[in-house]
Amino acid sequence: MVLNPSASSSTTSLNDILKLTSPTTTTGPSGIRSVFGSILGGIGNIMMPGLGSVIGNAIGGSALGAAMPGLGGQTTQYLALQQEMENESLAFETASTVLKVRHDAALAAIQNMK
Amino acid sequence: MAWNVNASNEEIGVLMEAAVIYRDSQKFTEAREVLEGVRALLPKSDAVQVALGVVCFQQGDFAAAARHYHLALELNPQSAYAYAHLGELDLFQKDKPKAVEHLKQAVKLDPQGTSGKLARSLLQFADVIKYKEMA
Repeated sequence: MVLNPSASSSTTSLNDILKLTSPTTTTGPSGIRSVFGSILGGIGNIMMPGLGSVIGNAIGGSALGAAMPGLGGQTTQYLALQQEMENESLAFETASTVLKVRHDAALAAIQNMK
Repeated sequence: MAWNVNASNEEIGVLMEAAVIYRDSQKFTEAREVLEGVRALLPKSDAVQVALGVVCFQQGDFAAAARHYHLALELNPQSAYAYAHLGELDLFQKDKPKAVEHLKQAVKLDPQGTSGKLARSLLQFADVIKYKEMA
């Protein structure tokens, strides 16, 4: 996605912003999403080998991009994006719950040894 | 030479916590050394075996992790902590039916405790993994 600074004036309409922020292709995740997915994936990998790729792919949105490469209407695009965000939110929440509970279980096991 | 070391419960706790810190800092050699020491002090502890298994798991050595978890279950067949981690291992080895079986056993053995809670969260995670593969 490329933002043109010259287009950012005080008279920019909502449509202009939407056009500027729309991805140029729908075949892959945006840069921010890719980076975000990679970071979370890396954290997961420290605790559970392989977890990173699950979360990373989910947040990177590669699955959805590959499944629906040529979405036409903006409404469909937004619905797909919403679905993708719900999926990645669920994946992130579940993985982060597992990591937290896993740590709590380890501490409880130590407590029980004392 | 025979050693006669009687570590207090508090000292054991400090050693175990140190091992967890080493492990989560990815200093696996140090974590294993500390845990081997604790195992020498508490040879019949299932928790120490599980902790050693988790070190192997986080290193990606699933076979060694499984050996430790099974040893833990030999020491304590009612160890919900061992069952929960065994289920986690099955999940990462893509053996979902076995994972569900072990995780449900952990929930059954420790419905109110942290091991049961861990098993329940892993069961939810198993559903998400299935969902992602379908997407």
